[in-house]
Amino acid sequence: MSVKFSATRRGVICGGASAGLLSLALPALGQTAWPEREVKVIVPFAAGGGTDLVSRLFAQKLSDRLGKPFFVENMAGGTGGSIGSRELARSTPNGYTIGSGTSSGIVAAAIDPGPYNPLRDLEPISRYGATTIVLVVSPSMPVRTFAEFVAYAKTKPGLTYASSGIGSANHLTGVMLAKQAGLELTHVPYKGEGAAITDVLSGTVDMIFVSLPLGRVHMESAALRPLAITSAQRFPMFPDLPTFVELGFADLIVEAWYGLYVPKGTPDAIRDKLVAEISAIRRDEAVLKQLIEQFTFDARGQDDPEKFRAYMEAELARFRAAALAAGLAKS
Amino acid sequence: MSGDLTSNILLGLQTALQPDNLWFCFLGVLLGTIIGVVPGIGALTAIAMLFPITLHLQPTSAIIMLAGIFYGSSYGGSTASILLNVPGDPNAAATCLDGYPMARQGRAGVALTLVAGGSFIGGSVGILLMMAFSPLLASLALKFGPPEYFALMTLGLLAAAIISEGSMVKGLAMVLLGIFLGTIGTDVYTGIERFTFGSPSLTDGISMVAVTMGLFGISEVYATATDRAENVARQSKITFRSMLPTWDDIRRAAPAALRGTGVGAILGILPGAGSTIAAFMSYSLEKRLSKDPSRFGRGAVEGVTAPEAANNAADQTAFIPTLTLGIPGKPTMAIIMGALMIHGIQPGPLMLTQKPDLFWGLVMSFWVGNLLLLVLNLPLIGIWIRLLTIPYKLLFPAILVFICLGVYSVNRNPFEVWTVLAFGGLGYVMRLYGFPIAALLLGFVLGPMVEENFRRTMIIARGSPAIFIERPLSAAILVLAVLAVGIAVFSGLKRRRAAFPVAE
Repeated sequence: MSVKFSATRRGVICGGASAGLLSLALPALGQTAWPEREVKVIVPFAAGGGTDLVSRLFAQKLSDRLGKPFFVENMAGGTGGSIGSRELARSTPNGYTIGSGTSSGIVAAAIDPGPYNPLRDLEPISRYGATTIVLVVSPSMPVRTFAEFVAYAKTKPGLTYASSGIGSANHLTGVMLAKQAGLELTHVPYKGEGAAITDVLSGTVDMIFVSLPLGRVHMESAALRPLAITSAQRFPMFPDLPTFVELGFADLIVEAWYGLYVPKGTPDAIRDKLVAEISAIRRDEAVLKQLIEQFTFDARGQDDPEKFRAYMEAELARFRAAALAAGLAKS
Repeated sequence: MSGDLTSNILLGLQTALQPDNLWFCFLGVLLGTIIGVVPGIGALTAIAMLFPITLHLQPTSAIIMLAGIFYGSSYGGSTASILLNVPGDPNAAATCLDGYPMARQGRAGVALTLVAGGSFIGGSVGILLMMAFSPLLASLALKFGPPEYFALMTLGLLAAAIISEGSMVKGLAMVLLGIFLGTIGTDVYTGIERFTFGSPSLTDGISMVAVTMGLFGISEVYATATDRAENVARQSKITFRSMLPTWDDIRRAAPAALRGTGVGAILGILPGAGSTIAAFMSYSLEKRLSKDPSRFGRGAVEGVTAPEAANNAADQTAFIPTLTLGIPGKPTMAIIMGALMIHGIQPGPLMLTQKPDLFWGLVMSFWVGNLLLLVLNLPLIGIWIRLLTIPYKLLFPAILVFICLGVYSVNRNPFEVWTVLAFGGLGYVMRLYGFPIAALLLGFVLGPMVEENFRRTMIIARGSPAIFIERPLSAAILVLAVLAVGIAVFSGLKRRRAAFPVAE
């Protein structure tokens, strides 16, 4: 395990070094020149989904600011968007193919390090922002607070929770809570969060750890009862909802974040420009409003690529531990 | 309540009939029709491509246009099914079964007219249901838990066996082959990959679009390429009269369209079921109800109108879970929902009260759209039939290219082009030796759903199969399934007994 990790890190350092060399060798490229033509933004998920919408928002702003079209190309498929992300990794690192990625890529890599790992295969630029996961229960459950839930779950072992699939963030959050609170919960996987929440709405399944953008309307209409949230701090949109950290689970923080990546070897000048531009866009009032109100973001991004990388590595380690605990991890 | 409905209809009409919205509605259904007619290029591709443009439109106009493309493509999809035996869209595959034989009898115009009528009935009744019973139907969708899905999909599999032409053994074999192909991909419950041979392109399973377009579309291209005989559809003369169905046609087609609408409306509400299944299920229902099932596959008008009514009804009712629960049942709905969200509108239980103008405007625009489609499609029939005058050596290579493009554009994965070509080869061999293609497709689509929902039910019920009969809805559907098998076996025995004296 530790050997594997250092290997990954060495790969990353080598990648960074070669990127540096490349930009030394090509001084003409970058600085003011880029972008001279249109830039392709690979989104490894289907059109109309959360990643797609957030990526389109940023692509639009990049086009406006840099004067060349940034166009989104959807390339869905594979666990954690591995098909599109691998295509991005294979692209020429000249700044004309960039792409989005999400926490689901890290979760997938934590379970199966083989096929795709954003830290190994790509160069992270910045984090657009993150949304979070909420524990919601069917109103047929006789619990109003998290404490009541724990007491109830202890008397009734085997309460069911739905998820968007085995090894998804919704699933691993359940694994983490069950382990840390000493509960026996039964996992019911679905193909996608939409199908999963349907059976919780009808009371067929007892609960779901749902991503906030999907769960929100059902919380607002009181069709589902929220008990706790997995963000580090209370969420601005639901200030009354306690975090798991407050409830005594210091390690139960699960964020669903979105970020920008480039292929390894992309010149430094282009990377720096992207970092600066994304940072400026995230501070735009209108963008911020849209991120918070439409995408249910907490608007805390990350503009320092090194900090973003360190954060991703910590996340990978945490999810790896959860995956090992659940017996899901592949070597 | 009824006064409420009237004011809602007026509010909706006010929105739908605004010149802007009317224009986008027309644009949407026109685009949808064209995309539907061209084999391979489906509504999903078109909507995904046009989605970025809609970000610059008013939300209501944007959704009206995207929705128009979606249900418009169902109207157009049957055209190529009837004229060329190549479905324009997967959900028009069932229409090939009797539509193409009609065209070969010189009745292409009649088939197209009946399809336009059937589609209109299906679409309109679907909208009526949506207007009157949206909240109720949404709660019906919620009543469909894993046991109900299992029961319904089992019924569907039995229907797949009934649908098959000729040999029962060949039909069952193809259902099983379909189920096997459906198991390819990642297992939902263990995350273990089955039969993927380590290929990332197979981890999500084989694409349903590629399988359908290969089996039904590409195989026809191969067949035409190898068949030197003039074994093609023809239409002697294109006159107004030649497009008019006979009284007998209408007598048979009208009730079939209504039954198809019922099947489609119910399956459309259920996320994941979809209009392709609705079309095949209503086809097999018609065959089952018919006094003379042998007419099917030889140009029975019921076999054309019922599936078309079903897929159009399903397309309309598919909006119910999307708009009232915020749960998209299929990828096209996910894009439409995304278009709403980017305009700051959260589809869900609160949308009816928070955005009544948008909801009712959209519903009323469906009426306008369906009417436009009917008006648009009847005169177009003459033009479509003229397509047949294009030499096949020009037409079929073009179709091949369109199908490959269409399949590629869904995920931009070249692997799917190989898949569609391979399934074209399989479909061609199956036709040569008389294996039923529809049975394979239904096994492929329904098999994984049966397994997935059975295992889910077992997890929820902690391994007790009693849940299937304890839940009234699943019990009722399973009783239907048992009845269907019983009747099939009984009538089979009766036919065999009746056949003996003749043999002696």
